[in-house]
Amino acid sequence: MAIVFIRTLIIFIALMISTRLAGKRQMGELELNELIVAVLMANLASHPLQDIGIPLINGLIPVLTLFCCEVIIAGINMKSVWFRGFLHGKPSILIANGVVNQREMRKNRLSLEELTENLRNHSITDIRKVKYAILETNGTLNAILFPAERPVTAAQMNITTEDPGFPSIIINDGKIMKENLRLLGKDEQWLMDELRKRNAKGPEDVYLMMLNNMDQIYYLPQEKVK
Amino acid sequence: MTKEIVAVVILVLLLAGTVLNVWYLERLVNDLLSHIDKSMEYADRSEYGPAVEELQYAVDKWNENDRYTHIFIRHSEIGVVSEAFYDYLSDLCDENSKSAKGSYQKLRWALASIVTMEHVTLGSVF
Repeated sequence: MAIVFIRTLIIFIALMISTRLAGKRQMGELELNELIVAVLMANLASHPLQDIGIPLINGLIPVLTLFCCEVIIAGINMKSVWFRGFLHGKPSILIANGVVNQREMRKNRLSLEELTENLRNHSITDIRKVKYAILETNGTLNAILFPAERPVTAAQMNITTEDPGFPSIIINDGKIMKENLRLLGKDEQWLMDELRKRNAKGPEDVYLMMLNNMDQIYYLPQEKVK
Repeated sequence: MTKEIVAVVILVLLLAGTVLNVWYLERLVNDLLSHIDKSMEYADRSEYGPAVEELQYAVDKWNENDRYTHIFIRHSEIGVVSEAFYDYLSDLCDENSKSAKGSYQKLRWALASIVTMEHVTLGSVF
């Protein structure tokens, strides 16, 4: 039991260090500690399930230990800027004013192909248009264009726009979302009237129905199953 | 902050639990070993009746702790110890002193090994 506890702590710390040294690229969208806990927990918990000769407690102790470590680290992360920097590193500025920072590229072991691929994910094909490209601590790349390259906003054009609000689902695969309907200030009677207008007998004839604050409706009937 | 405090408390409790487990296991095994050693002393003097009695007491004690052992010790190790107990008991019942010596050593080793495995040493951790 004590061995399992100590081993879990050692493996957790070793994984933290190795993943931290491996750099941001390895992490995807999870933070360092979340990644380690996710990888370890699934693996550790499965052993006593597969082998009934191993006491269940040998699986529970590591899981509980990891969970506590994760909660403690997340807590310290929130409170300490130094610890956050120590654990997750700092964001790397890969492009500044249209110029690729080669030192940061080498430091993050990122190739130009990977950088351009990431930029294309943001619909950017020309590096010269990028004011800043920042590799965040969770491994994602954020790109900020030069002001002249940014899409024009309604505010810049002095155009007044109406806010349609957040579209909510009111019928989901034949089921009425009563809470959403209530939040939008509608009742079932109103819904039935709208369905009748669309030749639907009831909610069961609807696959998806959405409504926004401007009473705009998106309607998709159920496909007939042959 | 409450979550973090609870996590620290759980970690401390786990650590305390592990220490308690080592202490309990050590106490149990030492108790069993004292009876096993006594039974060997009787067997050395060819007093097989009291030797079997002593060992039977240890076997019963081991079986009484069945719930604890099955929760905290790998079942394969429990099997090794139980087998060693019954091998030694069988040799004592047969009054086979030569064979009893061997099975006595085997039982001692099996019991000692479950304690050694729980002891926190560089060897056991790594």
